[in-house]
Amino acid sequence: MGTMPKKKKEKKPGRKKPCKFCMDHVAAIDYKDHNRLRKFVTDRGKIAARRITGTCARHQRQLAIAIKRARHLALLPFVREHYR
Amino acid sequence: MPKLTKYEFTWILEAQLDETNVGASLEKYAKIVRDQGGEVTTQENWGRKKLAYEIDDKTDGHYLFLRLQATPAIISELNRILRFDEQVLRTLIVQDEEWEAKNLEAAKRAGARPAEPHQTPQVA
Repeated sequence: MGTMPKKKKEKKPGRKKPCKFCMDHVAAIDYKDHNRLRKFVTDRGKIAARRITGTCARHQRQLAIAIKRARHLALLPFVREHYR
Repeated sequence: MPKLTKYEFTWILEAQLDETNVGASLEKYAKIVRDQGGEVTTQENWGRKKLAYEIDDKTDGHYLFLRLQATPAIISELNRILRFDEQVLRTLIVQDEEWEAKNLEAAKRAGARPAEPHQTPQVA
Protein backbone atom coordinates (compact mmCIF):
# COMPACT_ATOMS: atom_id res chain seq x y z
CA MET A 1 0.00 0.00 0.00
CA GLY A 2 1.32 3.40 -0.93
CA THR A 3 0.16 6.63 0.34
CA MET A 4 -3.41 7.08 1.22
CA PRO A 5 -5.38 8.72 -1.51
CA LYS A 6 -5.58 12.32 -0.58
CA LYS A 7 -9.00 13.53 0.17
CA LYS A 8 -9.86 16.30 -2.17
CA LYS A 9 -10.68 19.47 -0.40
CA GLU A 10 -14.20 20.37 -1.14
CA LYS A 11 -14.70 23.91 -2.18
CA LYS A 12 -17.50 25.53 -0.32
CA PRO A 13 -19.58 27.61 -2.60
CA GLY A 14 -19.21 30.96 -0.90
CA ARG A 15 -22.00 33.41 -0.60
CA LYS A 16 -22.08 35.40 -3.79
CA LYS A 17 -21.31 39.04 -3.19
CA PRO A 18 -23.71 41.51 -4.68
CA CYS A 19 -22.43 43.82 -7.38
CA LYS A 20 -22.35 47.31 -5.93
CA PHE A 21 -23.06 48.95 -9.27
CA CYS A 22 -26.09 46.75 -9.90
CA MET A 23 -27.40 47.55 -6.44
CA ASP A 24 -27.13 51.27 -7.14
CA HIS A 25 -28.65 50.84 -10.62
CA VAL A 26 -25.63 52.32 -12.31
CA ALA A 27 -25.98 52.00 -16.08
CA ALA A 28 -22.66 53.59 -17.03
CA ILE A 29 -19.58 53.99 -14.85
CA ASP A 30 -18.02 57.44 -15.03
CA TYR A 31 -14.26 57.98 -15.01
CA LYS A 32 -14.75 61.39 -13.40
CA ASP A 33 -16.32 59.83 -10.32
CA HIS A 34 -12.97 58.79 -8.90
CA ASN A 35 -14.09 58.66 -5.29
CA ARG A 36 -16.30 55.74 -6.17
CA LEU A 37 -13.59 54.16 -8.34
CA ARG A 38 -11.14 54.41 -5.47
CA LYS A 39 -13.02 51.64 -3.66
CA PHE A 40 -12.26 49.24 -6.51
CA VAL A 41 -8.49 49.47 -6.51
CA THR A 42 -6.11 47.72 -4.13
CA ASP A 43 -3.88 49.73 -1.81
CA ARG A 44 -1.15 49.35 -4.43
CA GLY A 45 -3.45 51.03 -6.90
CA LYS A 46 -4.20 47.93 -8.96
CA ILE A 47 -7.69 47.22 -10.22
CA ALA A 48 -9.30 44.84 -7.71
CA ALA A 49 -10.41 41.43 -8.99
CA ARG A 50 -14.06 40.61 -9.35
CA ARG A 51 -13.76 37.84 -6.78
CA ILE A 52 -12.68 40.43 -4.24
CA THR A 53 -15.23 43.11 -4.93
CA GLY A 54 -18.11 41.02 -6.23
CA THR A 55 -18.59 43.25 -9.25
CA CYS A 56 -20.54 41.61 -12.07
CA ALA A 57 -18.86 40.98 -15.43
CA ARG A 58 -20.59 43.80 -17.26
CA HIS A 59 -19.71 46.38 -14.64
CA GLN A 60 -16.16 45.08 -14.20
CA ARG A 61 -15.50 45.72 -17.88
CA GLN A 62 -16.83 49.26 -17.61
CA LEU A 63 -14.98 49.76 -14.35
CA ALA A 64 -11.62 48.78 -15.85
CA ILE A 65 -12.01 51.35 -18.61
CA ALA A 66 -13.13 54.04 -16.17
CA ILE A 67 -10.16 53.40 -13.85
CA LYS A 68 -7.70 53.57 -16.74
CA ARG A 69 -9.16 56.88 -17.89
CA ALA A 70 -9.06 58.28 -14.36
CA ARG A 71 -5.41 57.24 -14.11
CA HIS A 72 -4.59 59.03 -17.31
CA LEU A 73 -6.04 62.23 -15.84
CA ALA A 74 -4.05 61.74 -12.61
CA LEU A 75 -7.28 61.37 -10.66
CA LEU A 76 -6.14 57.90 -9.58
CA PRO A 77 -2.56 56.71 -9.15
CA PHE A 78 -0.94 54.03 -11.29
CA VAL A 79 1.06 53.00 -8.23
CA ARG A 80 0.70 54.37 -4.73
CA GLU A 81 3.42 56.77 -3.69
CA HIS A 82 4.97 54.70 -0.90
CA TYR A 83 5.28 51.55 -3.03
CA ARG A 84 7.33 53.27 -5.69
CA MET B 1 -23.90 69.62 -42.24
CA PRO B 2 -21.84 66.62 -41.15
CA LYS B 3 -23.10 64.49 -38.32
CA LEU B 4 -21.97 65.65 -34.88
CA THR B 5 -20.82 63.21 -32.22
CA LYS B 6 -20.89 63.93 -28.50
CA TYR B 7 -17.54 64.09 -26.72
CA GLU B 8 -16.16 64.84 -23.30
CA PHE B 9 -12.93 66.77 -23.26
CA THR B 10 -10.84 67.16 -20.10
CA TRP B 11 -7.46 68.81 -19.92
CA ILE B 12 -5.03 69.74 -17.18
CA LEU B 13 -3.14 73.02 -17.08
CA GLU B 14 -0.06 73.88 -15.10
CA ALA B 15 -1.06 74.98 -11.62
CA GLN B 16 0.99 78.15 -11.40
CA LEU B 17 -1.17 79.88 -14.02
CA ASP B 18 -3.57 82.44 -12.58
CA GLU B 19 -7.35 82.44 -12.98
CA THR B 20 -7.36 84.72 -16.04
CA ASN B 21 -5.05 82.39 -17.94
CA VAL B 22 -7.14 79.42 -16.94
CA GLY B 23 -10.34 81.11 -18.07
CA ALA B 24 -8.62 82.09 -21.31
CA SER B 25 -7.67 78.49 -22.01
CA LEU B 26 -11.23 77.34 -21.38
CA GLU B 27 -12.54 79.98 -23.77
CA LYS B 28 -9.83 79.28 -26.31
CA TYR B 29 -10.76 75.64 -26.75
CA ALA B 30 -14.49 76.30 -26.63
CA LYS B 31 -13.97 78.85 -29.39
CA ILE B 32 -11.94 76.44 -31.51
CA VAL B 33 -14.78 73.94 -31.37
CA ARG B 34 -17.42 76.56 -32.23
CA ASP B 35 -15.39 78.11 -35.03
CA GLN B 36 -15.04 74.75 -36.73
CA GLY B 37 -18.79 74.15 -36.66
CA GLY B 38 -19.07 72.17 -33.45
CA GLU B 39 -21.16 72.92 -30.40
CA VAL B 40 -20.15 73.33 -26.78
CA THR B 41 -22.83 72.23 -24.34
CA THR B 42 -21.03 72.55 -21.00
CA GLN B 43 -17.97 74.44 -19.84
CA GLU B 44 -16.59 73.52 -16.44
CA ASN B 45 -13.67 74.63 -14.37
CA TRP B 46 -12.93 71.98 -11.75
CA GLY B 47 -10.27 74.15 -10.18
CA ARG B 48 -6.83 73.40 -8.92
CA LYS B 49 -6.20 69.86 -7.72
CA LYS B 50 -3.40 67.72 -6.50
CA LEU B 51 -2.31 65.19 -9.11
CA ALA B 52 -2.32 61.54 -8.10
CA TYR B 53 1.22 61.32 -9.47
CA GLU B 54 3.72 63.84 -10.77
CA ILE B 55 3.52 64.90 -14.39
CA ASP B 56 6.66 66.66 -15.65
CA ASP B 57 7.73 67.13 -12.00
CA LYS B 58 4.51 68.97 -11.22
CA THR B 59 2.33 67.97 -8.30
CA ASP B 60 -0.70 70.16 -8.96
CA GLY B 61 -2.82 70.93 -11.97
CA HIS B 62 -5.80 72.96 -13.04
CA TYR B 63 -8.62 70.81 -14.43
CA LEU B 64 -10.88 72.06 -17.21
CA PHE B 65 -13.75 70.22 -18.83
CA LEU B 66 -15.91 70.65 -21.93
CA ARG B 67 -18.87 68.67 -23.13
CA LEU B 68 -19.15 69.15 -26.86
CA GLN B 69 -20.53 67.97 -30.15
CA ALA B 70 -18.12 67.76 -33.02
CA THR B 71 -16.95 65.89 -36.08
CA PRO B 72 -13.83 63.70 -36.11
CA ALA B 73 -12.06 66.43 -38.09
CA ILE B 74 -12.61 68.92 -35.28
CA ILE B 75 -11.27 66.45 -32.73
CA SER B 76 -8.07 65.89 -34.68
CA GLU B 77 -7.67 69.65 -35.02
CA LEU B 78 -8.11 69.99 -31.24
CA ASN B 79 -5.52 67.31 -30.64
CA ARG B 80 -3.11 69.01 -32.99
CA ILE B 81 -3.42 72.36 -31.22
CA LEU B 82 -3.18 70.72 -27.79
CA ARG B 83 0.11 69.11 -28.76
CA PHE B 84 1.70 72.54 -29.17
CA ASP B 85 0.09 74.14 -26.10
CA GLU B 86 2.81 74.22 -23.49
CA GLN B 87 0.46 75.08 -20.62
CA VAL B 88 -1.31 71.76 -21.03
CA LEU B 89 -0.05 68.82 -18.97
CA ARG B 90 -2.57 66.17 -19.96
CA THR B 91 -5.65 65.77 -22.13
CA LEU B 92 -8.42 63.23 -22.54
CA ILE B 93 -11.06 63.33 -25.26
CA VAL B 94 -13.57 60.48 -25.16
CA GLN B 95 -17.02 59.93 -26.54
CA ASP B 96 -19.70 61.13 -24.16
CA GLU B 97 -21.45 58.12 -22.68
CA GLU B 98 -24.09 60.36 -21.15
CA TRP B 99 -23.43 58.87 -17.78
CA GLU B 100 -25.92 60.94 -15.84
CA ALA B 101 -28.85 60.57 -18.20
CA LYS B 102 -28.34 56.81 -18.50
CA ASN B 103 -28.11 56.34 -14.76
CA LEU B 104 -31.18 58.41 -14.04
CA GLU B 105 -33.12 56.40 -16.56
CA ALA B 106 -31.90 53.09 -15.13
CA ALA B 107 -32.89 54.18 -11.66
CA LYS B 108 -36.30 55.25 -12.85
CA ARG B 109 -36.81 51.89 -14.53
CA ALA B 110 -35.86 50.10 -11.35
CA GLY B 111 -38.10 52.42 -9.42
CA ALA B 112 -35.41 52.99 -6.87
CA ARG B 113 -33.45 55.92 -5.60
CA PRO B 114 -31.17 57.24 -8.34
CA ALA B 115 -27.45 56.87 -8.10
CA GLU B 116 -26.01 60.02 -6.65
CA PRO B 117 -25.07 62.47 -9.37
CA HIS B 118 -21.38 62.81 -9.51
CA GLN B 119 -19.73 65.89 -8.06
CA THR B 120 -16.78 67.71 -9.44
CA PRO B 121 -13.84 65.44 -8.65
CA GLN B 122 -11.91 66.25 -5.52
CA VAL B 123 -8.44 64.78 -5.41
CA ALA B 124 -7.54 63.87 -1.86
